[in-house]
Amino acid sequence: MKKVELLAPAGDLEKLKVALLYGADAVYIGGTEFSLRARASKFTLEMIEEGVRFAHQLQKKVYITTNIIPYNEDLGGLEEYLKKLEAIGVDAIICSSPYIIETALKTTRLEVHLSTQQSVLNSAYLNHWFEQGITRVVLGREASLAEIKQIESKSKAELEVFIHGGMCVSYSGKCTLSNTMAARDANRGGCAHSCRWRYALWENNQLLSDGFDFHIASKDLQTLRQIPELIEANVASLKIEGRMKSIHYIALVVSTYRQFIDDYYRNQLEPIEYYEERIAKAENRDTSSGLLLGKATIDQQLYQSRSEYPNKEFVGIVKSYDCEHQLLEVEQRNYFQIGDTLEVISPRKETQIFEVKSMKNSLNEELTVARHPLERVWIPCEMPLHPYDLLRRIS
Amino acid sequence: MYLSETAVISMQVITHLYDPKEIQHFKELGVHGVLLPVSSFSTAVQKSFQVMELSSILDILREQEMHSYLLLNTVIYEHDLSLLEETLRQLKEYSFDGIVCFDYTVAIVAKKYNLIHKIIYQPGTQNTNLFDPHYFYEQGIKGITVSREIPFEDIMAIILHAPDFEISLQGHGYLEMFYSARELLTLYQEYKHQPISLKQQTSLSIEEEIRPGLHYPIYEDEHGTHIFRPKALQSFQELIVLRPYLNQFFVSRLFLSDEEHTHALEAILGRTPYQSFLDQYPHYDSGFYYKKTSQLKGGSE
Repeated sequence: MKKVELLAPAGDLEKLKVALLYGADAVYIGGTEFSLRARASKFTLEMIEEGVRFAHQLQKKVYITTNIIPYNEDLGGLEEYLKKLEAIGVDAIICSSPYIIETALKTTRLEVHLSTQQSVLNSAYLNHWFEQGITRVVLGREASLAEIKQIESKSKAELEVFIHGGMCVSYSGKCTLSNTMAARDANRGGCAHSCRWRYALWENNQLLSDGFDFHIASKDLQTLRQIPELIEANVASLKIEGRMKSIHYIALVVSTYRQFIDDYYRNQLEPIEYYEERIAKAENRDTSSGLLLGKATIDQQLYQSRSEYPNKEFVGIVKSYDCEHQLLEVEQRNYFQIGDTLEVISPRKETQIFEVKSMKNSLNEELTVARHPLERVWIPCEMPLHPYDLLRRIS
Repeated sequence: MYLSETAVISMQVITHLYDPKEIQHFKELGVHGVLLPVSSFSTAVQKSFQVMELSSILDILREQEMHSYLLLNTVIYEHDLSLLEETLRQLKEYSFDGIVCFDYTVAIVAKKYNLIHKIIYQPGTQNTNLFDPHYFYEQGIKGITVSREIPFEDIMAIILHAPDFEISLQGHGYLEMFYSARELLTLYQEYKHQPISLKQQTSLSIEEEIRPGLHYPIYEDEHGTHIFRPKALQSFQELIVLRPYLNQFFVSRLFLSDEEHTHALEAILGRTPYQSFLDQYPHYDSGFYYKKTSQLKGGSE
């Protein structure tokens, strides 16, 4: 059996590199054109080229989302853009529009995957797309484990399944809440996440809810306990959602699933709580197994007043290490100070900790606190760390 | 102004049938045809029909020289495929004008039973540009319904550049903006320990916290939960331009009283001045015809 692919999101080049270094087999990214997630689709062709070069050096893959449901005005320059992606050597594109799919298949040799925006939930529809030339289909997030197994047994194309991250509570591609409520087109990258707002429920003129405690939104997806069954179901790719998430989130989520998958194949799984505790450090929303176990229950829904809570423990990313002087160069991402104990998150080794005993800024001035985002600080550290190691404050 | 004073009429006005007894009433109004929701495969409707019931209804419609469209608007899961095949196999024996589907799987299965030429693909969203229809035309379907969230100028562009198949519009009534597999009302009642079922009730709405007073109709059935625009869509002015080009104009009936529904049909069919209708029913607007949306953030993949 071919080893399952771990597919991670990347909103920029730094996240792309972190995702791949922390264990993703492939990343999906959005170009500046034809992609959903407009704010996370910042990759120019030059950046895509750099990302592909980086990935291919590691024997890994890059998929480009060209998954908008386009209006007439959105389609200019499509063929030229696709040919440039082909020339760069991207490994596949992820599409939703039949016109974009047909154009890619007729004018390039690009491998084409079908986006979850098409909400494919059965083998007949999936095989239809395979016959059109699609090699992989991202299933709708409404598919249960039992259905995924049935679909796979009849499928001619590879299956890609979401395993972690935010959930569209509507069928993907079918929601215009954001269009109506915020004049932002969800199917062209403008989703305002109106499903996460608070609502009151009325029956005619009678209020049924307690104020605005009626919620549409679901908890985020977290499927560590279901990964073995997904692997056994012969799913080709396990996909993490979240191109707009932080590098800290990506590093922790990717590395946890990486370890789980590798441990599973080696038949050396730790107790599930070990992985769950690790991944929980990255989450800023409540999680559930989504609809993988079947029909939604109240355990899958968000009924709390806030659906997000900030995660401020991630304080910096290692940029370099000076072995001679045992000095760590860190780019600050959140406030930390002398006396804090920092935990190192690294793709290379078990968790290590060290105390910040002193630090200096780029002017060689002594600091007591690192308070400025993206500020470079130098910290004495006896452990040799590496670029893209991440630092979390644990005390 | 009467809409009957405008343009050449080639367009069929189609609305939901709740009861076969309504056929005569619709005929007298001048309605050209009806939408017949098929049990097990229709959602967000007040009434659906078993396949066996359809035979006699289709006979009556044929006698009345009215058009008949079967509605299968659920999302098709793997476990639905065998029943869908059986349903289409049975429907193949009947005489009707079209099958309106939300999930393209219906078209794929219909192909097996030589019914693909009857398919009108109506995904709500997604038929948003003038290029995608050519793909569906090549598949051999009867036509598409343009998406409900696109501007009027884009609808015109799709119509004017469409291949030689039928183009339709969901042009009147409360239009859906959200469809979830989750039973959100049932789950909320369970969370609140309320035993009363809110399924299939048309009197429910949700109100935004930051825009009090704006109510969105919400409806749940066995296939999930639907949320609708706060105002119903009317297209009277637009019909003056669109009428010669559209093949079907669908009038949605959910949340409308029988009286309002009849008044709407009369105005659409040009039997009464549409301004009188709008004066009587102020909860209408022009949807996205003149409201541009932007691309700022978000998405789901």
